[in-house]
Amino acid sequence: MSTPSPARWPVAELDPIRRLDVLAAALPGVVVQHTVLDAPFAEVWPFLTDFERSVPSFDSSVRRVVVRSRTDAHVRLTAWSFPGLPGLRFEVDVEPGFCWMRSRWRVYVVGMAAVPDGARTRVAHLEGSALPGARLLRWFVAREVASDVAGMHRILDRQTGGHAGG
Amino acid sequence: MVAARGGDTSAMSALVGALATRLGPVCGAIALDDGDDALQEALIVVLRNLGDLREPAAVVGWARRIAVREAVRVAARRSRSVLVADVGDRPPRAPGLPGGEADVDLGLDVRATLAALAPEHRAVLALRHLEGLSEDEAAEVLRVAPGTVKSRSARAKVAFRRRWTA
Repeated sequence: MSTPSPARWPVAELDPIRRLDVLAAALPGVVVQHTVLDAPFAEVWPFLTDFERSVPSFDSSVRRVVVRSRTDAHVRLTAWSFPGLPGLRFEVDVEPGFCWMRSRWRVYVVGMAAVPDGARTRVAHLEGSALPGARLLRWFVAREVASDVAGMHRILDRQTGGHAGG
Repeated sequence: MVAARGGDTSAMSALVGALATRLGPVCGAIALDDGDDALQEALIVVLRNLGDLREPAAVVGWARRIAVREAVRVAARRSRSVLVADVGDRPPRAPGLPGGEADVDLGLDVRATLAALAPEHRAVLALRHLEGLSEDEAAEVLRVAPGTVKSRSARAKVAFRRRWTA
């Protein structure tokens, strides 16, 4: 034998959080924030992808979410924000620990990724626009993302009494 | 691929996922414990430069060229900052190898043997034995003469042979 079988060679992996970071690096109009939630992945991920329940609870700018259709890997939903504004339709791709939401015409994209970290969960949350010139709104998007992440902590962290179960 | 190049963020996300699986072995074999970093950095370069790709069907070969370059760069950066002695002492990460204890031992041995080679030599091995490229094709990816690939490949094979006959 001169070299070992390929099955024995080390293999690099791109976990869901790194995948979100790759997309963030390629889209100048988006902002990504990382955090560690004090709750297990088995609790965090089902909650985050229960969009009708989770998004209005951690995102203060979203009043209501309605799922129009759902399969294991794809969700169509509409999100309403401020009174008077029409609902924004999103197509959502969902994989274990990773989801990518895009509205029509690239107006807005949202990404969430989660990776187990012992009894806790590392989470990355991304929002922004893929439209040209969207980088000018990054300051606003950064505020939204920070608010959402704070909301996730409020709801999911055990130490603050928050829990997603029930 | 065409949709991703046109700015479809869902297509970009899917492309990143697919290329991560495709390029994970080559990044892991070259950058070893820094393989995940190398893979992430390679995919950022790929996404940022999608517009430069003239022939969408050639995306895998083009992305592989980028991945090899990034993996060698990341590995070289690491080897400048870590003493060679530390490489052998570093606890290996779980390789997820099939089979029993012997397989694990062999997997760790592969990693240790690769770690003793220069990143450029690991790149030759990865391209020839993981990717199945000819000497000429590997030389083109690495931008070196075919003779250089041949000599590096021979040296790397000797290193493996010594390891298993020692």
